[in-house]
Amino acid sequence: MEVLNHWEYWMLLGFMGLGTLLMLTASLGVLRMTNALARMHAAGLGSSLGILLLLLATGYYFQFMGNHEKGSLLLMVALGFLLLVTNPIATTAMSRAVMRSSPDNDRQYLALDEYAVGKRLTVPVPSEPNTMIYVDRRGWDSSKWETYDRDVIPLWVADMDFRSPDPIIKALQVRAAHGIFGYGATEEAVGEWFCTHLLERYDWHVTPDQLVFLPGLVSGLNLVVRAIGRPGSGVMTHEPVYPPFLVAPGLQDRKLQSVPMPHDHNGGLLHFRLDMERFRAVADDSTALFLLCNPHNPTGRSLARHELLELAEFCLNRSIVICSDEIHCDLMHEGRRHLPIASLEPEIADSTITLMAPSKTYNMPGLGCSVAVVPNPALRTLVQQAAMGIVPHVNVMGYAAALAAYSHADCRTWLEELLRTLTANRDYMEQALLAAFPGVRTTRPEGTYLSWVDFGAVVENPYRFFLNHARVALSEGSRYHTTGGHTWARINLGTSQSLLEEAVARMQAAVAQHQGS
Amino acid sequence: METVYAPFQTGVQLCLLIIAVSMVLTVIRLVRGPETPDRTVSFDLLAVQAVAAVLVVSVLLGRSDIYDVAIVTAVLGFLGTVLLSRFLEGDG
Ligand SMILES: Cc1ncc(COP(=O)(O)O)c(C=O)c1O
Repeated sequence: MEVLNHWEYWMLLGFMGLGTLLMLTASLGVLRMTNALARMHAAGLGSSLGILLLLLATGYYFQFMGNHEKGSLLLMVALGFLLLVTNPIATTAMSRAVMRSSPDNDRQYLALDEYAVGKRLTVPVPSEPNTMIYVDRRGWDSSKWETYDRDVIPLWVADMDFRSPDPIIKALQVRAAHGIFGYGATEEAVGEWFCTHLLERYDWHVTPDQLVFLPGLVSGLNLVVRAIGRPGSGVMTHEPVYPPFLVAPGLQDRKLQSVPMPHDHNGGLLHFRLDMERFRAVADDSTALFLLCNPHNPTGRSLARHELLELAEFCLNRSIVICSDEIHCDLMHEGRRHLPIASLEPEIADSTITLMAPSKTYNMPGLGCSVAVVPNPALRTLVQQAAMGIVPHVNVMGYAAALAAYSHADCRTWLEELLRTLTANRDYMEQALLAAFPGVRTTRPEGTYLSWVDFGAVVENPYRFFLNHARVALSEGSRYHTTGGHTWARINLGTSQSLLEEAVARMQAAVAQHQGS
Repeated sequence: METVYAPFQTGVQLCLLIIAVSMVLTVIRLVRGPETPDRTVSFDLLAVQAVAAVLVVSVLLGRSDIYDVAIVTAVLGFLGTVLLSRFLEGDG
């Protein structure tokens, strides 16, 4: 004979089922949440409600079963009471502990012991899911955001408004918590990892002894200009180009030989290329160095193999050393592969100095960690001599961040997500510009998060016009040219799409008002 | 002698299965960590789930005399969690 009615059995079953399912959700939460704090919340909620339901069901069940042991009801009440009291205490203790975990344990995040090639670090870092996190940087020590008035949308200097990948942040936190900032010893480890990175991503074999670490690429550029040739030597480059390319030769007592990059256009879309004819015409016996920017700031061009080979042949024939600034190398759209010019042939590598950095890729240019790859020992000595006594070592935080950037697998995933975001921003901006400003022409960058736009059809000086009338700060086109270039502007796409939308709306309104008056 | 409604018995067995699966999942996080706080959280959850398992088993067997097992489990779980947390904070 059954003691309980069927509906009672079903009710009990309902309670127990719900209770156990809550236990399951708690476990799933603990498994799937990305950091200890979130795991704790998931576990707490499911487990306390779950255990309560189970207690109620069990209590009811035995209350009406004939074989109820004496005293067990008391035990059950005691158990319920115990759980209700201990659970919050345990949770409080846990949350305090979760907030403060031991620094010795954290040393693993610095990847100091794992630098042998092939041992990619797999210490999982408690991290957010890999979406780009836009950060409001106002008031946070940002040149981009503090140079102009607070109401200006800054789309100029090349850094992004996205948080760096978590492993980098964690590494810096751990390094800072160590509390000692003496002279560092991570250069070797960073070098090993950087070479692994070059091999994996560009199929380029480089050994750590061929690297010269530098606190910045602009100083690298100037060092190379100073190291190669002699006062008065010609330094050739292409324009438009990142302004320090045009300035460095003068600063280092060299003669600038800048050749314009011709462009074709297809509707409103621009395509820039190198003008080999003009290079040949302009080069003379004094020409000692070619400053190449690839991927190209500001046009976003990523040079194809045949273009690079043609340029290399020209330089090698004339014994011109190539300095290739490839700082944007990891920021390629639509899976395009960056080709380091030095990786194409050993002879090219032999007369090339390649400048690279994790700074643009992982949005850490303020940390000052860059590297020159100089396979030719004679050239390397020249660069090292030019730097001697003047150029400081990379700082310990820069190295810690670089080490995390190249050794943590999570940074790769972050980068893929970043690239998807940047490509979406690029496509948005192209479409928005062409729709909003008839006659305006823009590049479709193959690499970099920079658009290069000719606003000549709507305003004469877009930099000044948009700053004054739309409160949007672009980079000034004339700075990328030796002469002229006023109708051009560079737009930084490394921010949230909504900010870009707002900028375009303001710019469009300003132009409409301007044309109406 | 009383009998138990058969679907109920099956249902309770299913509950036990779900709890067992949950415990396995919790153990995965316990093993993986990566940090001691993650393990502490998993340990605490595992302790509560153990109590839950004892409760379900008691219904399944029709034996309410095994509650003391549940109580001991709960007490041990609580003490373990608090001790681990204290240890993590570095003052215990
Ligand atoms: C082509 C190029 N080189 C160098 C730099 C700056 O490098 P750094 O900040 O390391 O001097 C930039 C930054 O915008 C750049 O676009």
